[in-house]
Amino acid sequence: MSLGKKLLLGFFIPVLMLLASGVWSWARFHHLSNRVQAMLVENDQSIQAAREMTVALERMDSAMLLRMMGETATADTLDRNAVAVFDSSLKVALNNITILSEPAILDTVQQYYGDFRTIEAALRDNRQLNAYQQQAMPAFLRTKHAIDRLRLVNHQEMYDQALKIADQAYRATLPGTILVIAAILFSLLFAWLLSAHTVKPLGKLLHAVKLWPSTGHYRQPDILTGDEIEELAESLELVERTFTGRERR
Amino acid sequence: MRPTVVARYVGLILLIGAVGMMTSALVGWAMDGQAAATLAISAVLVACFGAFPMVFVPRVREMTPRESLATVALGWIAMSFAGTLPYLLYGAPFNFINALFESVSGFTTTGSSILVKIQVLPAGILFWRSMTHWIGGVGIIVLALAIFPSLSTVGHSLMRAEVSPVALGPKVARAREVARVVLFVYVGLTLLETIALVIAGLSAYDASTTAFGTIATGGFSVRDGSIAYYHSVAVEVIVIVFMILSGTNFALLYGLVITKGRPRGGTTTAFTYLSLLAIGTVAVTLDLQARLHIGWANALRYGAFQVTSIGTSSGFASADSSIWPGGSQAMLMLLALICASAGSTSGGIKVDRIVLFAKLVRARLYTLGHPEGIAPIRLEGRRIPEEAARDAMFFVVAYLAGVLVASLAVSLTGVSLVEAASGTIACMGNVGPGLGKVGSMGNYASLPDVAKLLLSGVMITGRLEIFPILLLASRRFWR
Repeated sequence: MSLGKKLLLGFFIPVLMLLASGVWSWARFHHLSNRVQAMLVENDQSIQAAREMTVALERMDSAMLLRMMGETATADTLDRNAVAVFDSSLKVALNNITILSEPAILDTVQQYYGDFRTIEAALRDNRQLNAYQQQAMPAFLRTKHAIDRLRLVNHQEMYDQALKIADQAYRATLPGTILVIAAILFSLLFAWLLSAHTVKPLGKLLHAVKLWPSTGHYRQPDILTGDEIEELAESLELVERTFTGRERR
Repeated sequence: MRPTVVARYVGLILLIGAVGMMTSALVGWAMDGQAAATLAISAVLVACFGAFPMVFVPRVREMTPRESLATVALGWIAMSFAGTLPYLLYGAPFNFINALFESVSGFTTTGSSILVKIQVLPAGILFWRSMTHWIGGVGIIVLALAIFPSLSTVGHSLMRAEVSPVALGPKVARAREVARVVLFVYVGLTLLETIALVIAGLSAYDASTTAFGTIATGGFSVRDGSIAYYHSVAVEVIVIVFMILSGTNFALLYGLVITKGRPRGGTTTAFTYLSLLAIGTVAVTLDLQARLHIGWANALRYGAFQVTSIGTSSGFASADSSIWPGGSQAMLMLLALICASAGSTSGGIKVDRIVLFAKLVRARLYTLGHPEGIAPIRLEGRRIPEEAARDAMFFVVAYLAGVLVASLAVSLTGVSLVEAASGTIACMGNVGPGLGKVGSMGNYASLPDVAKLLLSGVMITGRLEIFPILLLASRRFWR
């Protein structure tokens, strides 16, 4: 192989490794950022929706108590707002199903919430605390627990996803690091081989050429590089033979 | 010493690793496609490192013994490091130390693992893991000789440096001829076992990876629970038969095929090897039945499998021998020290040396009683030079000293003495499982990183039969 090709290979391969390292790392981190975004969109939205549903449910409960205390106007406003918030949050949760068990939980939430609203409507004119404690309170707690389950499931999923992403992040850093180390090691190997099989033979050749005028003949050094340096060493011998031939003639 | 010449041939050895990685990439791509890119990139990287020295360093006509030793020892070390690439590029559960341990364990056919859960890994990675066994089992030089014709000029000296002197004997045939015989038996046994396991009901993937582990006497399985996973007596029997065959001198097996059952030599050691396995099986079966009362059939089934597995340095498991009675465990550890025949893929001291050692002791006892007498050492009618017998004795002493020192070093890292000693015996003999946490159903994951590094060194030392590594470590060698 010619010296030019050898040098080209020696420089080209580490550059390729560094390039691969860059592309690989970029691809992995791009994938990671997509995963994080997806996790936030999918699970965090459901968690937020569950939180808002809980707050809205508690406000509906407060409205019931206010109504019992005679503050009907305030209770109606509070209840109306809470229902609007609950419905919009439930819609968000229904449009963001990402976990296998999520549809069943949301069905339960809808069913318990419906029961709670029916009881709430039935108790509008009943101002007895007993009726609230025996009917409305259990329905409220059931609905709240169902919403808590929705939040917990999404929390767990988020945690699992975060663990997977942490594992992927570790994996993402390794290939790039390895390829950079490989490029450095390859450069060292190239430098060593270049020194032993190109620079050293050149030194030998230089030494032989320097001795030529003083000794009167060129002694071809032992060079086996298979490239232009070996050819040069052989050519010099040819030159010497030609000159010696001329002198004799 | 010409370091660049050593680099050229180490590079050539690395190319075998690259071929193995590419094959695993194809398998991974066909199976689940998960780690195919990882393996392919590793293959390209290793090929770059392997082929590049050849661009600069021309082929040489011969190598000095020092160059050969350096090539073989550095070849094994380089191959072990290159083997970590697929693991590292894949990532968890492999950090550098774990990947190095797994790679060294694979190439040296030890079969010790840091993996707690095996089946969570992609098929390509697991195939590569088994492939390291197959490459390492036959010996990287033997494989290189068969694949690269350019190695034939220096093959003789390289082979002398890699293959056990007990296996080669005083007269060495042409290196390529030896490589041809060994590969013929190796590939033949692998194919036969794969076919037998497929007939027994395993998938081609499970059958081939199990065959890689068996014929190389390695022990890596692609399933959690090793061979016990398959719950099949047929599979266990097939694996037992091929473990025994893999622990037999390949030249003897070749001779049996060529001469149709009348080989020229090697029968005494083969008889001793088979007798040891038989005695071990009977002793463990009796012990298991007497103490655990698991029934004669089960005692024989598990006893025979574990004895053959440990006695041939394979390391597969069909039961958790770390909860077996002390007597059975002691028998297994004794077999882990001796292992099978020279000229096979097994590790340990080897039966051949034990036979020579025993004959030397007998001769010594005779000369003590008869000071003027001459006690020649004979094996199969041939007179063995005392030097050869003494070499065997030196090896046994060096081996035991190595086990002692390494056990002490591993126990100093905080590992319990039983686990340190059994783990070291298992790693030095390239057996795999030890006792306790590192037992047949356990793994080496819980060991400290320093202990894993030490045991990786012990595995390579055991695979190269101690002296090449000792020489490599001496300053005089490099002068």
